Amino acid sequence: MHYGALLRRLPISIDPNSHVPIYQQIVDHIRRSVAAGVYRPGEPIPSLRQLALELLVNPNTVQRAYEQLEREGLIQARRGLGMFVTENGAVSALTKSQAAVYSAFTEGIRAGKAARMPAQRIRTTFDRAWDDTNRGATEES
Amino acid sequence: MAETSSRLAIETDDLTKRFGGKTAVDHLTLRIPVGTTFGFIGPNGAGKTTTIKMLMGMLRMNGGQARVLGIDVSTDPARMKQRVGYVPELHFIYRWMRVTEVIGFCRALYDQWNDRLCAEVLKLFELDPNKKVKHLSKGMVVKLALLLAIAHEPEVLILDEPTSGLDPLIREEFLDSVLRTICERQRTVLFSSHTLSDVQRMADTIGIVYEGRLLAECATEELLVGTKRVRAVLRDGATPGEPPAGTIWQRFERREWLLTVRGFSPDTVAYLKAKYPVDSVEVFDLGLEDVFKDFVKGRRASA
Amino acid sequence: MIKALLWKDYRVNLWLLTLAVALLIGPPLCAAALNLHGQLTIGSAPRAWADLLVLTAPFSLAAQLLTIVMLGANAFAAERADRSAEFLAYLPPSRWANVASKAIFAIGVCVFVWGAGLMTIYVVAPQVGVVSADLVEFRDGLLPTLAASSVMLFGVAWLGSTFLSSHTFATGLGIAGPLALLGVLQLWHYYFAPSGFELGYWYRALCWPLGLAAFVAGTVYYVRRVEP
Repeated sequence: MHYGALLRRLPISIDPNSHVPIYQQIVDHIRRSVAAGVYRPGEPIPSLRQLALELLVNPNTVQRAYEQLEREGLIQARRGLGMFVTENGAVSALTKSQAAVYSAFTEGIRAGKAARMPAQRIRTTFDRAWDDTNRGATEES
Repeated sequence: MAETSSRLAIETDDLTKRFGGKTAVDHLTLRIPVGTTFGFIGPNGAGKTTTIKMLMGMLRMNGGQARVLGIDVSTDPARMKQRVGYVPELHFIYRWMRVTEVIGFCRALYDQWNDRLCAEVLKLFELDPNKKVKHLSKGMVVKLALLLAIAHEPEVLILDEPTSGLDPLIREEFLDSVLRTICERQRTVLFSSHTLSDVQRMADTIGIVYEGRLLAECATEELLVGTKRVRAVLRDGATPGEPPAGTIWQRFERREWLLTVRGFSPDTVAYLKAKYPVDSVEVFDLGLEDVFKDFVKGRRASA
Repeated sequence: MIKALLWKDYRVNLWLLTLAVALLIGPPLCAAALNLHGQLTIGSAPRAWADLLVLTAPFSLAAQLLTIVMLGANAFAAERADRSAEFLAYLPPSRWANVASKAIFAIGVCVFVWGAGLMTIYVVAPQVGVVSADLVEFRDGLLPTLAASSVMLFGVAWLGSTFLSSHTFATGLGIAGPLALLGVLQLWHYYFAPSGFELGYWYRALCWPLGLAAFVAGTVYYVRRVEP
């Protein structure tokens, strides 16, 4: 997950080789963008055709992503105008992003357990990762 | 935009082709609905080009039948070709013709031809109208072939390994043009490719072909999300036996039992934990390349 | 659609058309040059220009056998040799349309060549008052044989072209046609019909139907064939 890249608007890019389905990558990216405030409530997100051509993906895939985001209440279609971020979209995006972080952490913990790391070791590994990331972020900014 | 119509753009029933003693296409049955993009993947020699050639009425079938837009390809190929755009893997456009002459020639052969679109794409592709085909680079020839395929606004586009051997820039131009035609109207696209990233981008449905047979045919997302790699570490002395349902490939080495399971569900893990003495079970997501390779490897191993 | 196909076939076979025209006007030009040379150097009386034109016509017609056999041989095999037939195969024209275009062009050139030759011998010659024993002998003797041979050469070469990928082989096959017929007739003459058997008559009589049959067979085969 590249949070640093979030702060840029388009162009976004997807990884066509990833095991994560492309529609999911689009959903995740738009959600993170909304959570980070790149797209604010009431603002439009790229049109279906625009995004499909930008990313070079099947428009059906973009449609599926948008449908899911619409179901989650993040975006809403305005007739003839396209897709717009809903008022409570930002909040729901934040919640979802936090849930994604939780999943990432549980995955890391499971990996640690599978590697037979004791609980304390897993915690110190987290602390080390936290310090390294912060140092990296400071250097970037 | 894409309403899955009950109409089929392409359908084959038990399509078969033999070359001497070898069966290149073995009772292949395909159903491609209008408005969808179908990605045809398989190792070299799996029968993709042979199938496509039969669909285009360029190769005699040994068995079965094929219909494109409801038209039987063996009885009325001329009518079908008016509505189909085709880009082959190898190009043999008349080498002595200039680009304008090729366009003029093809234009006279089709009932409908969009001059404006043709001019637009010609400019976009930066094709020199006065250059002879024999002086065009490979990438330019492919672009010309695509131009010819889309200028008559076909309802179906059939592409046989269209981007093989092309540099990434031209590949992107090519995909962009194909995408634009998909976006314009309800177009059906059938394409075979070795560039799995292209297939993952563009295909609604993927068909995996091996030795002339369809190993799998399902929605791209379903294939990726539903196929997982499972790593079960067995306790000392235990050996694997009957794998869980949907296993397409497996390997056992030093207590580690690796399986690729299609249609993965929590039941798969439950089955493993119940039936075998496992220390741990981990599940990994797979990319299209891994899924494809495991399908083929699994079939090879069981052959 | 046919216009476009005809244009394409014309361009593919342009070299043959050029050859046909060259063999049409080449011989009279050469004769004229020699005539001039004779006039200028030896000082012999010039032959009338009409004479030159008419008397080289038989040679021209004989030489056109080459053009005619190659027109038949090149019809399909040329596009198969460079595989441009595989490009044409996925375009809309039906097999009938392709055949029609090729037949119209090839037969058209043959008719043009023979038309010019026959016109010269039968129409121009009497008009300009060319009287020649050689010409008469040619008219009554060799001319019908050349005509019959042309039909057979074209027909068999055309047939070969429909299933071969090399126009050289098809040309060879075309040439083999009349030769084989001659061979068969010769054998027949020696073993079955020793006396009163006119080889020339039977050769001419059989060339026409066999040549036409080969042409039709080739056409039907091509239309029914699926591979380019």
